[in-house]
Amino acid sequence: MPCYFAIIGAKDNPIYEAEFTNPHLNQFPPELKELNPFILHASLDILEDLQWQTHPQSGAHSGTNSGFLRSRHSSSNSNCYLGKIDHFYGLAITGYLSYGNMKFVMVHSGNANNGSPVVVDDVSVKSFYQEVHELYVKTLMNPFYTLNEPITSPVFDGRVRALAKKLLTK
Amino acid sequence: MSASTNSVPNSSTGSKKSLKAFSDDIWKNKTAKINAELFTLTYGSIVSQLCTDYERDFVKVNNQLFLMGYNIGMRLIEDFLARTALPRCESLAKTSEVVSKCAFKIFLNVTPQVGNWSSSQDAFSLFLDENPLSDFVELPMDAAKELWYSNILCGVLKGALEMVQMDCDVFFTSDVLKGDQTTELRVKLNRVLKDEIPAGED
Amino acid sequence: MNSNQKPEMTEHQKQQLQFQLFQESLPKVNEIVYRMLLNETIPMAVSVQNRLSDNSDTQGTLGQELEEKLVLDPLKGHVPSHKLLQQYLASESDQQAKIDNRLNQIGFSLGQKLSQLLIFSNNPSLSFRDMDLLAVMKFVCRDVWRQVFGKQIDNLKTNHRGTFYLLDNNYKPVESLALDDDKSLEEKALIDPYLQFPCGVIRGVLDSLGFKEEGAVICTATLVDNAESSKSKSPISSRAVIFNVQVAVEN
Repeated sequence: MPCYFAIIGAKDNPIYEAEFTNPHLNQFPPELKELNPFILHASLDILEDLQWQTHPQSGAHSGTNSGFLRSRHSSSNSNCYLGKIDHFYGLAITGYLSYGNMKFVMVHSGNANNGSPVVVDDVSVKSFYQEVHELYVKTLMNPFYTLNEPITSPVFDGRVRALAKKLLTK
Repeated sequence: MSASTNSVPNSSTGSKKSLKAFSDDIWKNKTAKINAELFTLTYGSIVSQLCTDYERDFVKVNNQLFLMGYNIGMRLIEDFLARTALPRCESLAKTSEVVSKCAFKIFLNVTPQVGNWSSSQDAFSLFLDENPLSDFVELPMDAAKELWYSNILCGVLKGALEMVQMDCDVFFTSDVLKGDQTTELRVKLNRVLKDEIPAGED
Repeated sequence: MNSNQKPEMTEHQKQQLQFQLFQESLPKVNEIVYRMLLNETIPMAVSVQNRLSDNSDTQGTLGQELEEKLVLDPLKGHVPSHKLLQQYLASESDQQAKIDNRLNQIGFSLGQKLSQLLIFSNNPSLSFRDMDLLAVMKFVCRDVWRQVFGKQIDNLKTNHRGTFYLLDNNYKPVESLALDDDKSLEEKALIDPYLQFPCGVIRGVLDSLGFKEEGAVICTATLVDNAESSKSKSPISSRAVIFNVQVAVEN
């Protein structure tokens, strides 16, 4: 299913955005495509409210222990994942918060043809967020990247898209 | 000319092993350590501050890093000699081994490969497969051409070698950060100083 | 109680131990190299200031020539560290302020990034879910300080209205500065640039954890007489530093 993903900075400024589609499956309808950023931004308020609560989803554990930062085991990152935070017609919106208050948000579209509701696979969506979080922290470690500025690195973009292919649009 | 002209760059396997074991022991048992990530991030903050100060004039940044390294190298050699109590190197080949297997090992816990000897045996290269200074680093487009990100290393080597009476040119010829296949640091011996007062010391 | 010879480790202790083992397994470098790098930033910042002031009146082609010379002879205009420090003392206060600011900035960007790395590394004693200012300051005193300076802050005091005093009984970077007890005022002025970096680190950590409004955090540091170390028999007198952190809090 197609997804629209964005990282939103501390001042609600966009840091990074990407659309993940699978050429063999359906795309975002053009009229929806333009709406995606707005749908996401509408959800930010909900995300900020949720930030201060314990979300029922946060208990779930997933065991993705690969990569260099991820190897720092323990599950305290799992409560960064907020699960499904909002919906908009047939779309679901999920969110994830980093400790530096970076907001990771995503619009998930269902199958537009048969109008079936979106089912968010929490396990893979959560690991997607966690892996992106790790990539984000690595990007932050680059001395030439300044906190809260748009991420322009093609390496980051490539890796995020590879993750999406593996975990979301399969 | 230098004392190195007659010697073979590769000394016997036996002495190679002992130098490695000797350095491993110092690293493992006699060295206070800190997380390499902290070191990497701090160096990164310094370089990015210099890029801001010099308004991205990377030639000046390279030079400032070199000078900074030079000042460090002149003092680091004291610590090195005190720690290792190694005798004077009889040849440049021996120097290259001590630099790669001992100095780099003890200070940065990496061992660059030595190679690319000049035909007259007065210049060699250190190939840095691992470089703790540049983990995480991705050079922006404008810096990729001119900035030698790890140039501080050249200064450190220059300063340290000068303190043991070796006047060398030290410079990078390639860097994986710039898209090169290897990170190659060249050391070229100009002459052996004879009890001269080293430059910069009064 | 009798049934168990060893008390079972709590989940938290287990995590702490795992975390410690993990920290130890991370790549390391020699501490000396790090200390030297940090200390050398002060003469470096002076050298940058000298060059920037010089360059302001040599524009265009002359600057180009200078650059070519720098490539051919990288040691051109080299000034040894101790001379640069003397130059710092001899500088006008506005020059000193610029140098101090440069050092503070280096600490700031380190603090910003290091805090994210430390939090991401899942230290089990950190829980930023209910992140308040006090929790962040404790994080600075414990985790950040241990990482950067190899020890924790010895004492943290607060008025619970945004003012904090962090006492480091033995601030390592100034340990080696040769200052006698009868240190002159001028020599004391040399301490200032050495205290910029840690102040910057504190600001950077706070910034990355949400205290990022312009002027929201003011951090100053002063060297204090260390009553404890003068009482003890330790031959090396340690240097105590107080960091005064003011955070503008909304009420």
